[in-house]
Amino acid sequence: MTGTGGSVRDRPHTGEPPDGDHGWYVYAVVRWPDMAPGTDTPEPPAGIDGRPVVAIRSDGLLALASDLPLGPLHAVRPDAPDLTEQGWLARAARAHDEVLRAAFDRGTVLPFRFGCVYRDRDELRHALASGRRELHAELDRLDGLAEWTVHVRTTPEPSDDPAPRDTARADGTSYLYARRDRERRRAAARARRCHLLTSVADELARPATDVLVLPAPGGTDGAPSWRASHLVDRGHPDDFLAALHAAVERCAASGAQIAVRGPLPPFHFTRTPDRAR
Amino acid sequence: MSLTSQPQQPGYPAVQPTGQRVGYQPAADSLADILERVLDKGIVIAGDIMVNVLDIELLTLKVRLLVASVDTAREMGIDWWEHDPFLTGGARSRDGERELADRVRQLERQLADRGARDEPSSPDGGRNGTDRGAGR
Repeated sequence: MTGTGGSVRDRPHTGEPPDGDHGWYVYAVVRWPDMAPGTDTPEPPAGIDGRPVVAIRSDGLLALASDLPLGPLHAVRPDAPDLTEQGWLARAARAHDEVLRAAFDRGTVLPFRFGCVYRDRDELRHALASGRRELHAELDRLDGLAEWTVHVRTTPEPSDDPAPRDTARADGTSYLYARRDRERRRAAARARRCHLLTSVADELARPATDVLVLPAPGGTDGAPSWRASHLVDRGHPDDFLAALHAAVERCAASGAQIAVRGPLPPFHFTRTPDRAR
Repeated sequence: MSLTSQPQQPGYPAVQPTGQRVGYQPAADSLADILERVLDKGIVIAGDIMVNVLDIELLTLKVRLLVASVDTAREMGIDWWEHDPFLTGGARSRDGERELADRVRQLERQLADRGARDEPSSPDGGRNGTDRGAGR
């Protein structure tokens, strides 16, 4: 798999970067058969900084990698990273993601962590060989599975807001009764929101192979939220999609926000081989 | 496929319930979505790695995010630093403060030296020199 023609090949061991300013940036590990060229093979996307993506082969495994000048990576400023869409970090992260998703369209993908660079091809092949058994096992485990990330944010209900009170006529007892009622309304509203989240979580977990609950930024004014990644059968996603559609409708009816991303390569479910760590 | 309901963020389309199925429009992933996926997820195989975000580089990258905007990181769901003893430990904070104090003293000395060198050529060098001295 290169930047031209979509063919899988491993370049001859010549033309290595002459100095330390280049390295082999790795996007993912895939299986050789999954990346074999076919007549309908789409053009693979370019990698970071437009560099061609090359498949480096080692014992049935392919590392998708680019020969990358490292200046921009080193130039990311520790005190003020550019997080704008025009910045290098954003463009590089999007390119990394694009390469993974294009490979995912063709087969099982083990995503590499952003920013991993090996000195040369031999070093990369050595790394693949050292984790060969675990990488094959991980590819087998994740074969045919996709990740779906779902984030639900609830919103405060009107009863959450303190009702305007006529303080001039309120005696102590009525004040306490009103306060108690308000607290009850708040508790009931919060229980409804929590029930929504647990219901959605249960419905989506049932057809999923695995679920990983993720840190979730809170909803408006601290209203509860929930976020999780689901591992789903790519070949038979109907049950999960049905649960997802039901969750979307339930959230819409409750005024909650739901955001879904998928199907994606299994970013959150990939485990680094222990022996290769 | 990306979808959402009740859009609150730019680029997120609305989901429109359509009876049995739910219609949706594709949504572009936000930068926060991408970064959350690729920055500290995925495998790393140790080797003679020139740039390895697993160790120092990853820590540095996350610190960069933290320094730049805690809110941005929290919005992404990245709040690992709040539980990281390496970053929340008192010893490290004191070390950092000591380094900063040393650096400030060094800069003050450099400014004083430069002021002393500039003094003879300055038209009102005597007064400025006094001001600088009084200000310290």
